[in-house]
Amino acid sequence: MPVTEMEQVLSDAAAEVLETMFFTSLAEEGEPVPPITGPLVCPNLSFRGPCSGRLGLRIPLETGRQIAANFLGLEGSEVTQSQLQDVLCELSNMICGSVLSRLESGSIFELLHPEIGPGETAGSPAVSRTLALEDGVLEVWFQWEAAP
Amino acid sequence: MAYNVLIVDDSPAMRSFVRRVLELSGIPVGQFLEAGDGQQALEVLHKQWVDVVLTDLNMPTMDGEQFVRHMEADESLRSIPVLVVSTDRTDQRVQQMLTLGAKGYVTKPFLPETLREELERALGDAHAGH
Repeated sequence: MPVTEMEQVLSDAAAEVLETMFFTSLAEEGEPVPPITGPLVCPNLSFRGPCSGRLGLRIPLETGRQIAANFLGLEGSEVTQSQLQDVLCELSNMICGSVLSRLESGSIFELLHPEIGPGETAGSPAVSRTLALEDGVLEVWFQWEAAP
Repeated sequence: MAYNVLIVDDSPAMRSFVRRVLELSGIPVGQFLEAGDGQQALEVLHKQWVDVVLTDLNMPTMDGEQFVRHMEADESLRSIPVLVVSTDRTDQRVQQMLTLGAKGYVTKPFLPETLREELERALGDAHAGH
């Protein structure tokens, strides 16, 4: 799949998940994408199936806190570190499921447990997309061993 | 009639989310019970009456597929409707779980009304079968 199409898959999958269950909207198209700076939370997970690889997110702490608060129905200041990591791992899990179903809807994949990592992809090829949210920014990246 | 609901997911945040959706859905819930994997869920089911189970698939110790297989193999648990709530939305996995005995399959992300409708259908079918 061409890189531009893969980027669109990442964007569509992330938007669907964020809007449906995390009550977080993407910024209007054409809005500038802010840089990803400051302390980051970086959940990622591996998958195995017809193709194997990893999907991960790079999320500024404040954006992550707001996403977690939306999901849990809390104020941002009420979200604990444990809840923050749990919710963002769940977010990466759902985006990965959505991406894989868009790539290979007829196949069974095993998704391993998400974990909070250093936030850098290891190896290649990898495709990433940075998304401006109404209140923040995040990057989603995807790498695989056999081309989807 | 109020229903006892068992939510099986290794993510406390996800269990909390499902619980909040059901609380807002208007479905009368007597008791919410929770388990972090299939093994814990079986322990709950052997101690407590449950009307419906909502289970994730990807969990440590005993995953959702093994859990549903155990429930189907146990005569005392077989009649309890199980809804799978999973990120895995591939056609093969959905068919596999329905064939194993799950009464419904909701893919994450889901709209709150989708979960409510599937739960009502599963509970309705269970009552119609009695």
